[in-house]
Amino acid sequence: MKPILRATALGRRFPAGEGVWALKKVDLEVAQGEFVLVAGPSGCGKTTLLNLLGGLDRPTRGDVELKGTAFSKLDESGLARIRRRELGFVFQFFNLLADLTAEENVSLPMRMIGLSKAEIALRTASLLEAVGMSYRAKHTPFELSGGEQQRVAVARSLANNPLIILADEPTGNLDSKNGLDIMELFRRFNQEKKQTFVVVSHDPGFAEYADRVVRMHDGVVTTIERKGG
Amino acid sequence: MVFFRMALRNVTRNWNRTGMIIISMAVASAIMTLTLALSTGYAEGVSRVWRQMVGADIIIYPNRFVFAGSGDPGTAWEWRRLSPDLPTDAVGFHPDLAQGYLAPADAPPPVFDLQNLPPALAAMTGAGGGLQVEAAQLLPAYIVRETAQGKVRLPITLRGRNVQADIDKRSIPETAMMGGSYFRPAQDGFWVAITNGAAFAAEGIRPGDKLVVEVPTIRGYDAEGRPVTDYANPQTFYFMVYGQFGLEWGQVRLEDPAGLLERSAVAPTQTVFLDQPEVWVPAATFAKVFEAVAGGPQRYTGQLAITLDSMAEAKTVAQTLAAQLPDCAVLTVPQEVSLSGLNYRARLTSLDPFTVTITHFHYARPTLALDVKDQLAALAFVVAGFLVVANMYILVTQRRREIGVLKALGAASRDILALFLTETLGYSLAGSLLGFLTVRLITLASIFASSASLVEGALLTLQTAGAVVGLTVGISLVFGFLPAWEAARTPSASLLGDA
Ligand SMILES: Nc1ncnc2c1ncn2[C@@H]1O[C@H](COP(=O)(O)OP(=O)(O)O)[C@@H](O)[C@H]1O
Ligand SMILES: [Mg+2]
Repeated sequence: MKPILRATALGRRFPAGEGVWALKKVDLEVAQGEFVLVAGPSGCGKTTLLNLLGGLDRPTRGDVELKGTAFSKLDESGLARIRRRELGFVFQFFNLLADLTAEENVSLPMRMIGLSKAEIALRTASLLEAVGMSYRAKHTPFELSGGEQQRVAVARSLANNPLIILADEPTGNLDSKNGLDIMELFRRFNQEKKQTFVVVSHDPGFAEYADRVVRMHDGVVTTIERKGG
Repeated sequence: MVFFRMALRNVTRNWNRTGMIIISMAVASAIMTLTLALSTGYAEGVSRVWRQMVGADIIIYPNRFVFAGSGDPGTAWEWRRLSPDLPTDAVGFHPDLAQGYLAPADAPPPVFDLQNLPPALAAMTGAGGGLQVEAAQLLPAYIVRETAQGKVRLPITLRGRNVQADIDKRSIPETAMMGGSYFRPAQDGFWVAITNGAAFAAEGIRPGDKLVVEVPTIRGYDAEGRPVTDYANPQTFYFMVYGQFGLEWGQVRLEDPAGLLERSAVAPTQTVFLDQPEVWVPAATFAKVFEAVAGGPQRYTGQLAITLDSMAEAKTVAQTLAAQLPDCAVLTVPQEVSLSGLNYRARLTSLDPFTVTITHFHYARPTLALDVKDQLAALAFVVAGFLVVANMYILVTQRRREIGVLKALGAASRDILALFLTETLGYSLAGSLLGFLTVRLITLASIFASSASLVEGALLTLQTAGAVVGLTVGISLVFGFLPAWEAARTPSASLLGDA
């Protein structure tokens, strides 16, 4: 299958101290509809990799291509546009906007691309429905539990039908029950809607249905296990 | 558009934050408003306090004022009255004063016998009245100077000062003394003098100089009780110039001011005005001089001074006196101060007769207080500005994570800027208007009470509002922009990693 996301010789060096190569040289391809799990010990560069794949950070060397568009060719607003239209993010700490309700958090990315009011209302309602949060639409993040906040965050990441969802330890801050629920959501969107996922997690639950497990160590990819087939 | 709306929502939704920021902005604007009010009203206020201090005296002037004459015994010791349409600051502050006692009478000048005061005055000085009535201590005199052209005589008024009363009652600030200090009780009876700074500066007379003063002898009193002065037999006194007093500062310039004052009844070339060169000596020293030139203590005077405690009293006393002594023009000191603000240059065309020409008016503006005002105002603005800056800094830096999230969701740098600048605009507009209006509402009463017209008041209010709101909003936008711009350009990854 033709990859939609491709990282080539990706490296990121942080200037702290004498300089740290958080990511040394990583090549990775992600195909349409794939569920890629990135695993590895803490500090091995998983977040750094995901940030680079999502255009939240610029690599020191190498490049990322999304559907043939090289990030290195894009300026600040070009990258913002890609994030707005093609990518969805789910974070360990949910990162909902505290002043907005669940509904407003979910609809914000749609408002950014200028969808019509009616369309926004419809999509927002169906996304909240899909993550089981319709009954909390008017609540602000403070009034929601961690699990509920993460479900809203998942709905938000799906708002603009992104090519890929990038999730960094989405269950890392949840208890096992809520963690399972989020995993189940991901699985459902992947299997039923063919949504592409790149998920960083050391939660073994994800490994069960990931198409591939990318194992990292010390800034490099050590093994890639292809599952099922 | 999304971000403008979001900004408005942020402002109207997070009341904890909005409240704090708006209140801080309001406090900053209130400081600015008060400071501006201070700087527009301060000079006037100082002036008013100054007048109240000096105005602790009321001086009863007869119709004519003393001035040093040409030296001709017939005209030398002359009195002249103020023109009735002479505008005074006292009238400006108390318009009702203009009706009645400030209008000089036309009757011939009275001379007061200090041992036999009119009943109205006697009653006031009696046990129940408790007022202190004194002769105004004034003598015509000359300062004698040796110059390349020979001896030059500069006509002056020698004025005695009650040192203790001055220090107790008037507490004229030392700033009134230009380059010198005021008489201390210890100086009473000493041969020291302070000179009218403006009048003598041009003559090169400075503190520390030895002053040679000639005072004509008084041979007795004429039928009307006026002193008969003998300029042919002056007595010479030596004073050490201890300091210089000045009642004139500032730059207000009126053209052709001579039209405001009535000219002397004497020849036009001898026009001399109230604010002639004066040499002040301690009261006890003046008594010694008087006894030397008159052969005994002062019995008659053309001018009385009454010491009061407040301007409010002055009004009642002056009105009573004006009613009971219709021959007298009663003047309060504010008028005198105002007149002392007359600044002239003495032009000695020839020694005798001489001409003094008024060149321009000055009005009292104590300079030291104004300087402090400027620094105070500057400081207040720095404090207020810093409050705004700190607010904006906190508003943005506290929300770096939020900025990171917005960027992850696809907001471009300029969207972030639009968001924060809109919020900033909302906060600073609301805050500065609140602060301004609060202060203005509180001070509204005093604005209405002041002599300023409604139109003036409204104009001033608009000007101040513009300045305060403009400044607050301007500072906010600049100092909201800087951290917002910095955050907007920081990669989302590091903004999110911060928390
Ligand atoms: N902004 C940064 N500055 C300096 N070092 C960093 C920065 N971000 C990450 N690192 C370092 O890079 C390495 C990889 O970090 P990270 O990608 O967060 O690891 P993981 O997500 O796998 O735990 C770590 O050693 C970390 O300390
Ligand atoms: Mg990590």
